[in-house]
Amino acid sequence: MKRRTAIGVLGGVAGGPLLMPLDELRRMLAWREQVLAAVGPAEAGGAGSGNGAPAGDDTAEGAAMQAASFLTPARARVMEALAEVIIPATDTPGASEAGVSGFVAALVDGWLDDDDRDRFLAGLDAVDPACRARFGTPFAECAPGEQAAFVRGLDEELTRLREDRAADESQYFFHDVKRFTLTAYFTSDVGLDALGYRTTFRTFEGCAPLTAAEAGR
Amino acid sequence: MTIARRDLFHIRPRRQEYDAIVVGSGMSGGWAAKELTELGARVLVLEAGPMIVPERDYAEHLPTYEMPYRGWNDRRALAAEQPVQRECYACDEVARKFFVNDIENPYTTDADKPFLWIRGRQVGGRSIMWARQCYRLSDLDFEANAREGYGVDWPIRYADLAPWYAHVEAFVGISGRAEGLPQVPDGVFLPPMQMSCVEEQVAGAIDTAFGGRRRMTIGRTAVLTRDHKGRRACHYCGPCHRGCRTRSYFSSINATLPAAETTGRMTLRPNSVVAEVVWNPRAGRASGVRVIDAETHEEMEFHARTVFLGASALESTRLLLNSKSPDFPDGLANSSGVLGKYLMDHTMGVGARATFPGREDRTTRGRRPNGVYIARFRNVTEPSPDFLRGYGYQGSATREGWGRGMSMPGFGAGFKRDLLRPGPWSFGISGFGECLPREENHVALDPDQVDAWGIPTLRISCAWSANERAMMRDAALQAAEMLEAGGGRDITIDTEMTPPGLTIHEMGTARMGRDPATSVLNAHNQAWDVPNLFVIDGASMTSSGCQNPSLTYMAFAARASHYAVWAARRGEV
Repeated sequence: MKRRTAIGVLGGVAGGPLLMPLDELRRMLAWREQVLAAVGPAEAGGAGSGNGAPAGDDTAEGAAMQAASFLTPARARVMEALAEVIIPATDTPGASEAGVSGFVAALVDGWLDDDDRDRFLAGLDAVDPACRARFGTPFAECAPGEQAAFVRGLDEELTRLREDRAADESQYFFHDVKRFTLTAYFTSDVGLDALGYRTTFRTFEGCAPLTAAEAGR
Repeated sequence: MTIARRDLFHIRPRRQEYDAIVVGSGMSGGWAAKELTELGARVLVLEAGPMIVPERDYAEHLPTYEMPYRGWNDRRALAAEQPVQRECYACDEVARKFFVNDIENPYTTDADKPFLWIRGRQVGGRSIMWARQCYRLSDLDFEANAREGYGVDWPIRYADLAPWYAHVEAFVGISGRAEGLPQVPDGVFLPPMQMSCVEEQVAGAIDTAFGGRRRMTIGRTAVLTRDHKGRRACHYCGPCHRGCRTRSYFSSINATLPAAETTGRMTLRPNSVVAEVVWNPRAGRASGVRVIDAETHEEMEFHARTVFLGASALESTRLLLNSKSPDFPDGLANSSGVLGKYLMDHTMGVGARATFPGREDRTTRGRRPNGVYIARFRNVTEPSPDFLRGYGYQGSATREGWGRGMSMPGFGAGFKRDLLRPGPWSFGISGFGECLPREENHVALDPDQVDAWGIPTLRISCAWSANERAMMRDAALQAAEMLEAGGGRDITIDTEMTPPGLTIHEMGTARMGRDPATSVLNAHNQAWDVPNLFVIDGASMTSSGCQNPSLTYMAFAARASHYAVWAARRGEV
């Protein structure tokens, strides 16, 4: 369901109730149940979860390391490569310098609900087999043109889903790939530098000329 | 904050009485602490939550890349610990530590009436995370109940409060622009912040399109636009709710508590959960408060000549409901039976948004901790179609940021170049509407539940009425019309009213009035039944207006503090 209502439905809105839908209210009321049902401590790769997280290294060094992530090295490689195609290095660094896989690992291990995580990981896991079938190599080793062609297919599917009122594009793994990539990049130190981000200002200007970076010069 | 550590811990009950106990260290309690100590009183401030040390606890400049979830918050921790608080925008990855743990602080609601109670339990209370908008009430508000026969009459008028508004504004430091509007009277202002290009454009268009009946002005905000009383001018970093080491916005930690500390007459005891106001039946007065130490659960009593409650509207009322005695079986100061009733909040969530073509060579520079304000026009300059009272709008126009890329097609070098540039101008405004005082919107003690300190909790029963819904239908339509008049395109409207509570303007439940039979407090925020008990927070409100209420609470707290000292000197308290 699209959250905002177009002005075209103003008449209907003016005549109809403005309260939140009852199921939305129930969702808010259900917080106690949510507490009870809340996931326990974030134990990445819980035994028997069947999500392909490695069991972890049983050496002393391995035990001292952080618990294994759902974002395995193989998945991280795919994620980083996809991110670099979405936000490539140009005259400024690209997404691969922005710590994308660290952020995505935090999300899959401690942020996404289990079913969202599984759907995202299944989508990621399907990338290399699809590229092998189409180009003969895993995604990260494909030629730039092949990578672009592959990502174009994913992005066009995302756009199609977004424009289909019956579909929920947020269930499509590339929706997550894209928002994870943009957030990781534009909140990273290299991304903030590229934006010309400043922390403090002498004053607030309501109508300032664009900087060279903002104007794209 | 300069409060000496020796004052923070191990404060034990003493034989010696304090002149006053102030319960709560936030917006209202901070003002009582300042005024009372400056008038010579020895004051014990009791705060349920821990000490906040700005140098340790404020984090307004923490870069997003140092947050594990890059600003997306710790969803699982929120679900487990703060399933109510997370509904507030300010309960973010950095500032969620300033919001209560909902499991330790439960409450209940009717199954079909959600109420989101957003709370902060620490020194500073919610004055740390507030949105800082400051508007005076006017006689349009103070006369509304009497004029319409709805609720009881306020026992004061604007002229009673105006000097106290001026008194607190001069200390707080509020930037804003004088407009001469009777419904939101001008105050003591620091220089206003600038409007953005598109805000200026729409403000002018509204003035023309609506014949001067509607006025958009820059928000009046408790953020310094120049150095003020030892606090630094704002540096426009943005996330005020995470704290402010330059103390550029007003909070009790940033301003009133340090002023009280300077007098040497304030004792501040954090981690002090007040369970009861103790009634002395022989003296016919409150003798002090019973406290449970938040960390050790040890019980103790503190005594004072006067007790001020500034624990927040619903916490102050809860405290009185829990203060039962043979003289007051239904709660202290409740001989009228109206304690807990006439709960209000402001309506929120309804408005409109549009994009504005043009001005692509301009942008805003700095993150302005403020927006624009459209003063109430319904039942002021224009009649309403079908409701009593009215609403004002708050909003802002800026250029969209990189986040728009999440719903844009594209990838690669060109996509990146687009997102590194500012997006279109986007202007959203949202209506904040007055809520009528209705008896059925109330709180009562829950017979079946206690909090983590064994104190009975509240059952809250509150819902919007037909008047509020009619008001917000109009607010959505008028928002769209004004944005259209200003040149907006692709106008969308938000039509979902948020549940009561989430506006965090909850008020009433221990209202002021002219008659002890129908109100809890008199014109001085003094309990009719208990002469040395004052309720100085939002609980005292008789009607809600549509203005952000903190400034009014501050004015009431200062006014009641001066009255109490004056009356004590005359032997009347």
